[in-house]
Amino acid sequence: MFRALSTAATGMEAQQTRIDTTAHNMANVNTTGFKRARAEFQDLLYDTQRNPGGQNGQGATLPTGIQIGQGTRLVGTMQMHQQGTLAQTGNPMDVAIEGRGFFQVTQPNGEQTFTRAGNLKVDDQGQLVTVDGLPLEPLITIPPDAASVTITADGVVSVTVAGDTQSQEVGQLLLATFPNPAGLEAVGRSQFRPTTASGLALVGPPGQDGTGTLSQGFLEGSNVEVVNEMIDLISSQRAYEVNQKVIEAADEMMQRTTR
Amino acid sequence: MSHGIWSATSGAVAQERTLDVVANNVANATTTGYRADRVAFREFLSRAQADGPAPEDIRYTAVDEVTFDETTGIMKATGNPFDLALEGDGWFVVEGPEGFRYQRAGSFVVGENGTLTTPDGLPVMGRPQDPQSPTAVRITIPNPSGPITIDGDGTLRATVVDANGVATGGSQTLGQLRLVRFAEGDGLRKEGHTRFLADGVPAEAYDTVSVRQGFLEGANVNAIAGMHELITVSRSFEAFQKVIDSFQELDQRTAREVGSRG
Repeated sequence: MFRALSTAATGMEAQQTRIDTTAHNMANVNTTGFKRARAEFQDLLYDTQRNPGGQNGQGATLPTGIQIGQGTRLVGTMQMHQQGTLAQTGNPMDVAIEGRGFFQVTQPNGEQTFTRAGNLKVDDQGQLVTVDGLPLEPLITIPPDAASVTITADGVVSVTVAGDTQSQEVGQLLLATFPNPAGLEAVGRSQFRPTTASGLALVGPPGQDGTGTLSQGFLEGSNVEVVNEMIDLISSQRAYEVNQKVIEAADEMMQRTTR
Repeated sequence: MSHGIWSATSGAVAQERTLDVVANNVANATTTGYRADRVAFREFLSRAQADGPAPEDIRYTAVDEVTFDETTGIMKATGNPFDLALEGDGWFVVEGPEGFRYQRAGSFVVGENGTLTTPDGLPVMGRPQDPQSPTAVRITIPNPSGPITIDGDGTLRATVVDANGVATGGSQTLGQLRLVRFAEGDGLRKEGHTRFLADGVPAEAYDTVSVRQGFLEGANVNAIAGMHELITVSRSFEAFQKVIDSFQELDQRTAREVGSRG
């Protein structure tokens, strides 16, 4: 009796997952380059008690059947790669990407990961690194006597040495794009790893073919919209409640039957 | 014994079935492309009674059909290139292990070998040569590839790039999504995983539907309507139980009082 009990339980579980996702998004509302996630659901298999197109006792064909569903399941979580808001910081080492591109980063084990977080730093060897100290690919070295660093929209990095009026070019930043950024695996620390679903990275200079352009002195905030997350939170909470009510109703009906 | 008790019991059982359906609707309130189910009841006359010398008018109720609501769910912007929503009367086609399946849910991903698939890995179908006897046409996203745009009629275009990923200018058509629609009597029914199956070969739907890239269609479940149904189910069940209780009481009294005069 009462399939509704387990059906409603799957619904409550789904809403819990949604709230977990919302919580993670909200917790990262101020994380540079963070991309919000979304949980994706599918309905479970149906108990077909009579197929549409079957025949009734009088031999007539029935236009509809009886199929009773058994709930929902999580099918995946996806990263939503919309542009985050750009905030002016005035720091010359802050670089925001306007477009679909990613900075390419080399992990200590040699693996390539990708990030949108452009809060770059210069390490003790003068190399451009992420805030975690991971070098960018291609490697760009800023000379120790550089007085100012300029990064153009198309990724050319040039420095002006103290006492010199001429600036000199020291490197070219490259950006990677993916056919399906939603298929990237989030590995934490604002880094993403390519998967078979995302496709291979396509590396090119900024400003070409949708890679996006760079804005020096700006940072890309997260693309978490607090209002949207609040709406998601409220709708999850209410949907959770409705599922709970189904359990209550089933319980009440069962009590009545056994009394 | 009063026969009415069986009518009331059938009513209570039908309400229990309805609760199962309502439970599934609210459990899927956030499932992309989900279609809410509706229950319809039918009155049955007891044949055994009708054959007797003095037919008694005993009626039963039972769930006669579960149909799905065909209204469109709410469109939500996601900005993902492979999140597709359908506007109008039409369905996406995917290749299941047991044949073509149809769905409104357009949350697709690029799977192995660049094939466009559902999140659980079923290939999304492209427009076949012959719509009358369609063959499985998969859509492959080249790798590397530039940004992909999908037109209203389901045509996928990618910016052409060379082996080094440098744009060569111009765009390349990767294929066209198969979009279909059904007529009455095609026996469209749910399979689960937000997919549907049908008996007939559906017609092409390029003139009744358009694809919107970067959007997803939510479930067409109305939480308020769900709550309302839930209350109705609980109260009806309660009422049927009361009727059953009354009949029981009546039978008890009959047995006691008629018995005492005998």
